[in-house]
Amino acid sequence: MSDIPQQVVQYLGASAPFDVFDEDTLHGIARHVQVVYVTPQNCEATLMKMMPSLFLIQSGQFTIHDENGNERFLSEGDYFGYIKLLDKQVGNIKIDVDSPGIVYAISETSFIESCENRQFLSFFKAAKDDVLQNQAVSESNTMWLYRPLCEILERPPIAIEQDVSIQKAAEVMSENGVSSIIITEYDHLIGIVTDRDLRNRVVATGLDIQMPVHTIMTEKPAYILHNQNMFSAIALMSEKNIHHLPILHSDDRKPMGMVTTTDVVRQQRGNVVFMIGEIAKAENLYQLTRLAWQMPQYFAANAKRAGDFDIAGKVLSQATDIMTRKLIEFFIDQHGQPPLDYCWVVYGSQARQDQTMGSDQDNALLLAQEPDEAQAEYFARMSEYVCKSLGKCGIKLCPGNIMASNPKLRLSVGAALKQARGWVRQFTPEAILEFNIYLDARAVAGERLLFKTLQQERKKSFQESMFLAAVARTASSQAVPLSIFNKFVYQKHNGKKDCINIKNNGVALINDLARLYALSAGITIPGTVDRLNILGEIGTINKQDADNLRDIWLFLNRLRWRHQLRNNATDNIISISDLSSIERHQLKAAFKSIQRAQDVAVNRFSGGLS
Amino acid sequence: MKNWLANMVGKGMLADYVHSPLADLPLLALDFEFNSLHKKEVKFMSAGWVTGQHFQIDYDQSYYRLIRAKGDLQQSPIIHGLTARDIAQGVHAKEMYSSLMQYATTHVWVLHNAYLDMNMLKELAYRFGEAMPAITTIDTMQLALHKLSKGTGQYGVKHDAATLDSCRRRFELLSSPLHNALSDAQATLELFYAQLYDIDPKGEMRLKDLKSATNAVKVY
Repeated sequence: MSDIPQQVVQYLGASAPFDVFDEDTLHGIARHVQVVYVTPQNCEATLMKMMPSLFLIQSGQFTIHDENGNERFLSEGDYFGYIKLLDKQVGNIKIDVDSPGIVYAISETSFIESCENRQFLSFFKAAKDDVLQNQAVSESNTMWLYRPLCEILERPPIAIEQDVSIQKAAEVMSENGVSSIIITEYDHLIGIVTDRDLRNRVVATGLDIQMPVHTIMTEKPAYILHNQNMFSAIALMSEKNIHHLPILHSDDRKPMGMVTTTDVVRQQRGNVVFMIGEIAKAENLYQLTRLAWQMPQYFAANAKRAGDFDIAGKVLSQATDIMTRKLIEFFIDQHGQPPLDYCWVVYGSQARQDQTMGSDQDNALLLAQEPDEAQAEYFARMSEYVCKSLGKCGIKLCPGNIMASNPKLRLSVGAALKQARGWVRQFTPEAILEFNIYLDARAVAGERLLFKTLQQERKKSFQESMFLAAVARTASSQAVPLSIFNKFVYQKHNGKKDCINIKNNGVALINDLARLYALSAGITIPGTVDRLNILGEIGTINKQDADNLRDIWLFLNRLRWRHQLRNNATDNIISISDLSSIERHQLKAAFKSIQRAQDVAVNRFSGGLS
Repeated sequence: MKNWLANMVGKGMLADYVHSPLADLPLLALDFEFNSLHKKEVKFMSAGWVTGQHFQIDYDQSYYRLIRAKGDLQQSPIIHGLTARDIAQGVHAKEMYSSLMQYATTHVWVLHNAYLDMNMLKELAYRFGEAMPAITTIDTMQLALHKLSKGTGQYGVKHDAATLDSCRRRFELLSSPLHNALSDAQATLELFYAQLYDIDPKGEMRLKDLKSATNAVKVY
């Protein structure tokens, strides 16, 4: 009988799922193991000849094009070959050796015998399914939140003209099995009627059912445009506490359909989004701060799945928006109506809707004209109140003083335009880093038209090629944390040596790229996922590349949220040892993709000069 | 050089491989544990080996035995984690020697620090009144020193840079947890494969080329 080197048995025993077996069984398995030092030259002659087998990597790095055609980057502790062992029908794998190393080949017989252990079998079955799940985040069960409403619409709108009788309206509703109906005048939305209106305003009051339907409708209802996404619809419904939301076409404002709470409940899986409804009910600063401080615990308790992490940033930003609107309301209640039209604008993560627990506030006030002394005083006090109160709600004050409470950030539209032209003329790297944050902007309260005017006016200047070239160079100057040998480049943090700042070295790099392309295409939407979706649709970026960047962004975002919620942290510094083996590979692949996208951007906008 | 090649070819078994690439050679990686490093008082404590070829290692012929010993064992058993009972249960050194000599002319032997192990083996043969047959060896330590000295000159190499573990670390091979002769034999063969690919990625070198390029090939 042959003897087996102890390290083979030990390595097997330390690699899940072989750890379910006792020492004797492991010896039996090890006896049929073949150990290969796999190099690019011998890969074909060794591993390929051993198939089908289960392969376990002890050292080295490999790119496997697996049985289902997926590309996977594998290294120490990873398996391959099991898909074929579990399903004979699939195709063959292809192996590229990125760096040579030792691979254990476990025979098919040993694998089949081992599969008699249920735990062992379910490990590989799950691994097999995982590969399928990882195919694209876009197929994940929460991507519906990001999809434009027009894609979710299942039927044409149920609408009737305002002079039709109540009885006819009720008939149309029951024929179509809907609980609400859009009331139009010359095909334009003027109201809605719901089951509840029929009960409360007709049946309960004994109203004549031949009366025109407009007599019982809710006039000027809230609505949403068809190019917005489901998330915005949910947020609006939660904030306004309504159950039916008409969808209008963004161009001609004609009704296109209706979103109802039932649709939401049907699709909704995580419930983190309902925090918004709670905040919207706050009646004073005290209630608002109390609710706001519950948010971290609320998130920690409710955000468990990857899908919850995808929307957590949106929920938090939406919550901050609502807090801001509430605070402005509270201020106006106390100090009277504003003397000028104004618009409260937010920047950075709040604008992009990717806030995390550690995000600070970045905001500004845009005024309809240069204020006189008294007007300036009113807005100074308003900004001071809102920013400080947001701070009390846990949204940290901005250390860089990018806040409306800073007089430099309370500009008239004219002054803001002049400022933007200045940026375009002075595009030193330092200047770009400084004003980058202002390029992700969103109006949150007040007169949105002011902001829209500013956006439209400055859009052209931002499309100048010299300016874009400079932004491209800045966007690519920050490198991903990979060495030339494709190893992670770590930083030390809290006594751990294997840390990576997933925001600065990952998420922010994709934000930069999405911003660059959005500027070039004149897209003013600030969110990175939304930007990438549009850029892919209109072909500014190849659709596949745009989808890939979006998936990577969502993946990195999941990692940072999980880190913050699990460790009750507000930083973005994750330890690689906290990641599963598969996540490590995904992270590495993600960084490589970002690097490639940076190269492409520099080539495209600055002719390759970086 | 003529001598070693003639020796090898003369014995017949390895002759087929003289013109073959190194990866095609049948290899035997081996290691011993001794109670002392002094030739005259040395006792073999254990022996282990594995065979391999074409960058593979298999366990059909792998071997691990403790060697039964008489007399004082000095310090080493504690280091190697052997108890007196383990040693009493071992095989006679002669039995191990005979098993090993089956590979003398069929395999090229791979050792980490071949000089030590081969001289100890010769001493063992001498005690049995036998002459050890000529054995062709590749020394992974010499291969490591060859590479290290390229950069620094041999005298610049740190004294612990050529241990089995530090050599393996440079190729990112897992450090072997145990100092057991069989484990170290496998660790040595893995190291050799990594070194071989490093020196000769295209797989064109023959034993003769390795000998003229380094100090790592010797016949004992």
